[in-house]
Amino acid sequence: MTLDIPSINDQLTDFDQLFTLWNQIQHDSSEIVFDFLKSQWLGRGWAHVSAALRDAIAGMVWEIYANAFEHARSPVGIFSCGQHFPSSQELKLTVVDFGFGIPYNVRSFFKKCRKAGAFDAANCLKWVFQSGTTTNPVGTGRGMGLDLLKEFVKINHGRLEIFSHNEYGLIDEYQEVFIDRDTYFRGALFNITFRCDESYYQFAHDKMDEPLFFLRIMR
Amino acid sequence: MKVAILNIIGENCITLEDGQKIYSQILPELSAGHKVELDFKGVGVFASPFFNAAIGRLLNDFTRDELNRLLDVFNITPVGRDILKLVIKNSARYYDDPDYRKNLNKILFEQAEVC
Repeated sequence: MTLDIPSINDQLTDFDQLFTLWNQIQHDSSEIVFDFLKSQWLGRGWAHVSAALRDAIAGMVWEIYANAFEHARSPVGIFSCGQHFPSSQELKLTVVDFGFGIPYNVRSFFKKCRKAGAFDAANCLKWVFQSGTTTNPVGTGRGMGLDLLKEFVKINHGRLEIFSHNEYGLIDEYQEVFIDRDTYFRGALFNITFRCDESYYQFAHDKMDEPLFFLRIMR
Repeated sequence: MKVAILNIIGENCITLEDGQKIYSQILPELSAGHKVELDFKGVGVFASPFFNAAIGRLLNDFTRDELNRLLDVFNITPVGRDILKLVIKNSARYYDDPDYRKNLNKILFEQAEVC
Protein backbone atom coordinates (compact mmCIF):
# COMPACT_ATOMS: atom_id res chain seq x y z
CA MET A 1 0.00 0.00 0.00
CA THR A 2 1.41 3.41 -0.93
CA LEU A 3 0.46 6.41 1.14
CA ASP A 4 1.03 9.89 -0.22
CA ILE A 5 1.56 11.67 3.09
CA PRO A 6 1.33 15.46 2.90
CA SER A 7 4.43 17.12 4.23
CA ILE A 8 4.42 20.07 6.56
CA ASN A 9 5.06 22.39 3.60
CA ASP A 10 2.13 21.17 1.49
CA GLN A 11 -0.98 23.27 1.30
CA LEU A 12 -3.93 21.15 2.29
CA THR A 13 -6.60 22.71 0.11
CA ASP A 14 -8.63 19.55 -0.16
CA PHE A 15 -9.52 18.19 3.26
CA ASP A 16 -11.69 15.51 1.70
CA GLN A 17 -8.53 13.96 0.29
CA LEU A 18 -6.93 13.99 3.73
CA PHE A 19 -9.92 12.28 5.33
CA THR A 20 -9.89 9.73 2.52
CA LEU A 21 -6.22 9.14 3.10
CA TRP A 22 -6.70 8.36 6.78
CA ASN A 23 -9.73 6.18 6.11
CA GLN A 24 -7.49 4.03 3.93
CA ILE A 25 -5.32 3.19 6.86
CA GLN A 26 -6.91 -0.05 7.87
CA HIS A 27 -6.02 -2.29 10.71
CA ASP A 28 -3.57 -4.30 8.61
CA SER A 29 -1.55 -1.19 7.81
CA SER A 30 -0.30 -0.79 11.35
CA GLU A 31 3.35 -0.99 10.33
CA ILE A 32 2.87 1.76 7.73
CA VAL A 33 1.25 4.01 10.33
CA PHE A 34 3.98 3.30 12.85
CA ASP A 35 6.84 3.88 10.41
CA PHE A 36 5.34 7.26 9.54
CA LEU A 37 4.84 8.01 13.22
CA LYS A 38 8.41 7.18 14.17
CA SER A 39 10.41 8.47 11.23
CA GLN A 40 8.45 11.47 9.96
CA TRP A 41 6.04 12.72 12.55
CA LEU A 42 8.00 12.07 15.73
CA GLY A 43 11.21 11.85 13.77
CA ARG A 44 11.73 15.58 13.42
CA GLY A 45 13.88 17.13 16.11
CA TRP A 46 15.26 13.93 17.54
CA ALA A 47 18.82 15.04 16.89
CA HIS A 48 19.64 15.33 20.58
CA VAL A 49 17.65 12.37 21.83
CA SER A 50 19.07 8.88 22.12
CA ALA A 51 17.66 6.13 19.95
CA ALA A 52 16.59 4.30 23.10
CA LEU A 53 14.52 7.24 24.39
CA ARG A 54 13.09 7.87 20.93
CA ASP A 55 12.05 4.21 20.66
CA ALA A 56 10.57 4.22 24.16
CA ILE A 57 8.40 7.25 23.40
CA ALA A 58 7.43 5.93 19.97
CA GLY A 59 6.31 2.70 21.63
CA MET A 60 4.19 4.60 24.15
CA VAL A 61 2.53 6.69 21.44
CA TRP A 62 1.80 3.49 19.56
CA GLU A 63 0.06 2.13 22.67
CA ILE A 64 -2.42 5.04 22.37
CA TYR A 65 -3.01 4.35 18.69
CA ALA A 66 -3.41 0.62 19.30
CA ASN A 67 -5.89 1.32 22.09
CA ALA A 68 -7.87 3.64 19.81
CA PHE A 69 -7.80 1.13 16.91
CA GLU A 70 -9.14 -1.54 19.24
CA HIS A 71 -11.80 0.36 21.14
CA ALA A 72 -12.71 3.73 19.61
CA ARG A 73 -14.61 2.67 16.47
CA SER A 74 -13.92 6.11 15.09
CA PRO A 75 -15.57 6.54 11.66
CA VAL A 76 -12.98 9.06 10.45
CA GLY A 77 -9.89 7.48 11.98
CA ILE A 78 -7.48 8.95 14.49
CA PHE A 79 -5.94 12.42 14.35
CA SER A 80 -2.71 13.57 15.91
CA CYS A 81 -0.73 16.73 16.31
CA GLY A 82 2.27 17.63 18.33
CA GLN A 83 5.32 19.73 18.83
CA HIS A 84 8.79 19.27 20.20
CA PHE A 85 10.05 22.02 22.52
CA PRO A 86 13.86 21.68 22.62
CA SER A 87 14.36 24.45 25.18
CA SER A 88 12.19 22.71 27.78
CA GLN A 89 13.02 19.22 26.49
CA GLU A 90 9.38 18.35 26.10
CA LEU A 91 7.31 16.66 23.45
CA LYS A 92 3.64 17.61 23.54
CA LEU A 93 1.18 15.42 21.67
CA THR A 94 -2.55 15.31 21.18
CA VAL A 95 -4.27 12.19 19.86
CA VAL A 96 -7.98 12.39 19.08
CA ASP A 97 -10.57 9.91 17.93
CA PHE A 98 -14.20 10.53 17.09
CA GLY A 99 -15.53 7.21 18.28
CA PHE A 100 -17.95 6.22 20.98
CA GLY A 101 -15.83 7.44 23.86
CA ILE A 102 -14.39 5.65 26.88
CA PRO A 103 -17.45 5.88 29.18
CA TYR A 104 -19.68 4.35 26.47
CA ASN A 105 -17.32 1.40 26.02
CA VAL A 106 -17.05 0.76 29.75
CA ARG A 107 -20.81 0.92 30.31
CA SER A 108 -21.41 -1.33 27.30
CA PHE A 109 -18.97 -3.82 28.75
CA PHE A 110 -20.94 -3.93 32.00
CA LYS A 111 -24.36 -3.64 30.40
CA LYS A 112 -25.47 -6.98 31.76
CA CYS A 113 -24.94 -5.78 35.28
CA ARG A 114 -27.84 -3.96 36.83
CA LYS A 115 -25.40 -1.67 38.59
CA ALA A 116 -23.83 -0.43 35.36
CA GLY A 117 -25.81 2.77 35.63
CA ALA A 118 -23.93 3.61 38.80
CA PHE A 119 -20.83 4.08 36.69
CA ASP A 120 -20.77 7.79 36.24
CA ALA A 121 -18.32 9.15 33.69
CA ALA A 122 -15.51 9.80 36.17
CA ASN A 123 -15.63 6.23 37.45
CA CYS A 124 -15.50 4.87 33.90
CA LEU A 125 -12.28 6.72 33.18
CA LYS A 126 -10.83 5.66 36.53
CA TRP A 127 -11.70 2.03 35.75
CA VAL A 128 -9.83 1.88 32.43
CA PHE A 129 -6.66 3.09 34.09
CA GLN A 130 -6.81 0.33 36.70
CA SER A 131 -4.17 -2.29 36.06
CA GLY A 132 -5.53 -5.36 34.31
CA THR A 133 -8.87 -3.98 33.17
CA THR A 134 -10.07 -4.27 29.61
CA THR A 135 -13.35 -4.05 27.79
CA ASN A 136 -12.18 -6.69 25.36
CA PRO A 137 -14.54 -9.58 25.95
CA VAL A 138 -12.11 -12.32 24.95
CA GLY A 139 -9.68 -12.05 27.80
CA THR A 140 -6.67 -9.96 28.72
CA GLY A 141 -7.14 -7.74 25.70
CA ARG A 142 -4.79 -6.78 22.94
CA GLY A 143 -2.64 -4.50 25.03
CA MET A 144 -2.11 -2.82 28.34
CA GLY A 145 -1.96 0.52 26.59
CA LEU A 146 -3.52 2.85 29.13
CA ASP A 147 -2.00 1.20 32.18
CA LEU A 148 1.43 1.17 30.55
CA LEU A 149 1.07 4.76 29.41
CA LYS A 150 0.14 5.85 32.92
CA GLU A 151 3.21 4.16 34.40
CA PHE A 152 5.50 5.63 31.75
CA VAL A 153 4.14 9.17 32.21
CA LYS A 154 4.81 8.97 35.94
CA ILE A 155 8.36 7.68 35.53
CA ASN A 156 8.97 10.19 32.74
CA HIS A 157 7.82 13.11 34.97
CA GLY A 158 5.34 13.80 32.20
CA ARG A 159 1.65 14.58 32.15
CA LEU A 160 -1.43 12.94 30.72
CA GLU A 161 -4.83 14.52 30.26
CA ILE A 162 -7.86 12.71 28.92
CA PHE A 163 -11.17 14.14 27.76
CA SER A 164 -14.01 11.76 26.91
CA HIS A 165 -17.73 12.53 27.14
CA ASN A 166 -18.15 14.80 30.16
CA GLU A 167 -15.18 13.28 31.92
CA TYR A 168 -11.69 14.61 32.54
CA GLY A 169 -8.66 12.78 33.83
CA LEU A 170 -5.27 14.15 34.84
CA ILE A 171 -2.34 11.87 35.62
CA ASP A 172 1.17 12.82 36.58
CA GLU A 173 3.74 11.61 39.10
CA TYR A 174 1.89 13.32 41.95
CA GLN A 175 -1.76 12.61 41.28
CA GLU A 176 -4.53 10.81 39.47
CA VAL A 177 -7.59 13.00 39.23
CA PHE A 178 -10.87 12.02 37.57
CA ILE A 179 -13.76 14.47 37.55
CA ASP A 180 -16.99 15.18 35.71
CA ARG A 181 -17.22 18.36 33.69
CA ASP A 182 -20.00 20.41 32.14
CA THR A 183 -18.51 20.17 28.65
CA TYR A 184 -19.04 17.11 26.43
CA PHE A 185 -16.85 15.48 23.80
CA ARG A 186 -18.17 12.38 22.12
CA GLY A 187 -14.88 10.59 21.35
CA ALA A 188 -11.63 10.61 23.30
CA LEU A 189 -8.80 13.12 23.39
CA PHE A 190 -5.38 12.45 24.90
CA ASN A 191 -3.07 15.35 25.71
CA ILE A 192 0.36 14.04 26.60
CA THR A 193 3.58 15.73 27.64
CA PHE A 194 6.70 13.59 27.46
CA ARG A 195 9.99 14.72 28.98
CA CYS A 196 12.80 14.18 26.50
CA ASP A 197 15.26 13.63 29.29
CA GLU A 198 17.53 10.62 29.17
CA SER A 199 17.07 10.17 32.91
CA TYR A 200 13.34 9.63 32.78
CA TYR A 201 12.20 6.80 30.59
CA GLN A 202 13.07 3.53 32.21
CA PHE A 203 10.90 1.74 34.71
CA ALA A 204 12.34 0.68 38.00
CA HIS A 205 14.48 -2.29 37.17
CA ASP A 206 14.18 -5.60 38.86
CA LYS A 207 17.31 -7.68 38.97
CA MET A 208 18.24 -8.48 35.38
CA ASP A 209 18.92 -12.11 36.26
CA GLU A 210 15.53 -12.53 37.93
CA PRO A 211 13.36 -15.09 36.09
CA LEU A 212 10.86 -13.44 33.74
CA PHE A 213 7.94 -15.43 35.05
CA PHE A 214 8.82 -14.86 38.67
CA LEU A 215 5.97 -13.39 40.62
CA ARG A 216 6.53 -12.51 44.25
CA ILE A 217 3.40 -12.96 46.30
CA MET A 218 3.07 -10.65 49.28
CA ARG A 219 1.02 -12.05 52.13
CA MET B 1 14.78 -23.78 19.05
CA LYS B 2 16.25 -20.35 18.51
CA VAL B 3 14.06 -17.58 17.12
CA ALA B 4 15.68 -14.42 15.74
CA ILE B 5 12.79 -11.98 16.14
CA LEU B 6 14.39 -9.34 13.89
CA ASN B 7 14.37 -11.73 10.92
CA ILE B 8 10.69 -12.65 11.39
CA ILE B 9 9.08 -9.43 12.65
CA GLY B 10 11.57 -6.60 12.12
CA GLU B 11 12.70 -3.72 14.31
CA ASN B 12 9.28 -2.98 15.79
CA CYS B 13 7.51 -5.57 17.92
CA ILE B 14 4.24 -3.71 18.40
CA THR B 15 1.24 -5.43 16.86
CA LEU B 16 -0.91 -8.24 18.16
CA GLU B 17 -0.76 -9.97 14.78
CA ASP B 18 3.04 -10.15 14.89
CA GLY B 19 2.84 -11.47 18.43
CA GLN B 20 0.51 -14.20 17.24
CA LYS B 21 3.06 -15.23 14.61
CA ILE B 22 5.64 -15.81 17.32
CA TYR B 23 3.14 -17.57 19.57
CA SER B 24 2.13 -19.96 16.76
CA GLN B 25 5.76 -20.75 16.08
CA ILE B 26 6.86 -21.43 19.63
CA LEU B 27 3.77 -23.11 21.08
CA PRO B 28 4.39 -26.54 19.46
CA GLU B 29 7.99 -26.54 20.65
CA LEU B 30 7.08 -25.61 24.20
CA SER B 31 4.25 -28.13 24.22
CA ALA B 32 6.76 -30.81 23.26
CA GLY B 33 8.95 -29.80 26.15
CA HIS B 34 11.64 -28.23 23.96
CA LYS B 35 13.54 -25.16 25.04
CA VAL B 36 12.85 -21.98 23.09
CA GLU B 37 15.18 -18.99 22.90
CA LEU B 38 13.81 -15.65 21.70
CA ASP B 39 16.57 -13.34 20.46
CA PHE B 40 15.50 -9.68 20.28
CA LYS B 41 18.80 -8.39 18.93
CA GLY B 42 18.15 -5.40 16.65
CA VAL B 43 14.59 -4.82 17.91
CA GLY B 44 14.20 -1.29 19.21
CA VAL B 45 10.49 -0.65 19.77
CA PHE B 46 8.16 -2.73 21.90
CA ALA B 47 4.47 -2.47 22.71
CA SER B 48 2.17 -4.50 24.91
CA PRO B 49 -0.10 -5.93 22.17
CA PHE B 50 2.86 -7.83 20.76
CA PHE B 51 3.94 -9.26 24.12
CA ASN B 52 0.37 -10.05 25.17
CA ALA B 53 -0.09 -12.20 22.08
CA ALA B 54 3.39 -13.71 21.89
CA ILE B 55 4.19 -14.45 25.50
CA GLY B 56 1.53 -13.33 27.97
CA ARG B 57 -1.03 -15.84 26.71
CA LEU B 58 1.44 -18.68 27.30
CA LEU B 59 0.45 -18.45 30.95
CA ASN B 60 -2.86 -19.96 29.93
CA ASP B 61 -1.05 -23.03 28.62
CA PHE B 62 1.91 -23.44 30.94
CA THR B 63 2.87 -22.81 34.54
CA ARG B 64 5.38 -20.13 35.47
CA ASP B 65 7.89 -22.80 36.45
CA GLU B 66 7.57 -24.47 33.05
CA LEU B 67 8.06 -21.19 31.22
CA ASN B 68 11.04 -20.21 33.36
CA ARG B 69 12.56 -23.57 32.46
CA LEU B 70 11.70 -23.68 28.75
CA LEU B 71 11.60 -20.07 27.52
CA ASP B 72 14.57 -17.70 27.42
CA VAL B 73 14.67 -14.12 26.18
CA PHE B 74 17.93 -12.62 24.96
CA ASN B 75 19.23 -9.25 23.83
CA ILE B 76 16.12 -7.33 24.81
CA THR B 77 16.44 -3.65 25.64
CA PRO B 78 15.78 -2.55 29.23
CA VAL B 79 12.56 -0.80 28.20
CA GLY B 80 11.46 -3.92 26.29
CA ARG B 81 12.13 -6.04 29.34
CA ASP B 82 10.15 -3.63 31.52
CA ILE B 83 7.14 -3.84 29.24
CA LEU B 84 7.41 -7.62 28.98
CA LYS B 85 7.52 -8.03 32.76
CA LEU B 86 4.44 -5.84 33.18
CA VAL B 87 2.61 -7.88 30.54
CA ILE B 88 3.61 -11.13 32.28
CA LYS B 89 2.51 -9.76 35.65
CA ASN B 90 -0.83 -8.72 34.20
CA SER B 91 -1.36 -12.02 32.39
CA ALA B 92 -0.36 -14.06 35.43
CA ARG B 93 -2.86 -12.24 37.57
CA TYR B 94 -5.59 -12.83 35.01
CA TYR B 95 -4.92 -16.50 34.37
CA ASP B 96 -3.97 -17.46 37.93
CA ASP B 97 -7.08 -16.13 39.57
CA PRO B 98 -10.40 -16.56 37.72
CA ASP B 99 -12.10 -14.57 40.44
CA TYR B 100 -9.69 -11.62 40.14
CA ARG B 101 -11.69 -9.67 37.64
CA LYS B 102 -14.96 -10.50 39.33
CA ASN B 103 -13.62 -9.22 42.64
CA LEU B 104 -12.12 -6.10 41.06
CA ASN B 105 -15.41 -5.23 39.42
CA LYS B 106 -17.29 -5.82 42.68
CA ILE B 107 -14.98 -3.38 44.46
CA LEU B 108 -15.40 -0.76 41.75
CA PHE B 109 -19.20 -1.07 41.83
CA GLU B 110 -19.12 -0.58 45.60
CA GLN B 111 -16.97 2.50 45.15
CA ALA B 112 -19.40 3.84 42.56
CA GLU B 113 -22.31 3.50 45.01
CA VAL B 114 -20.39 5.37 47.70
CA CYS B 115 -19.71 8.20 45.26
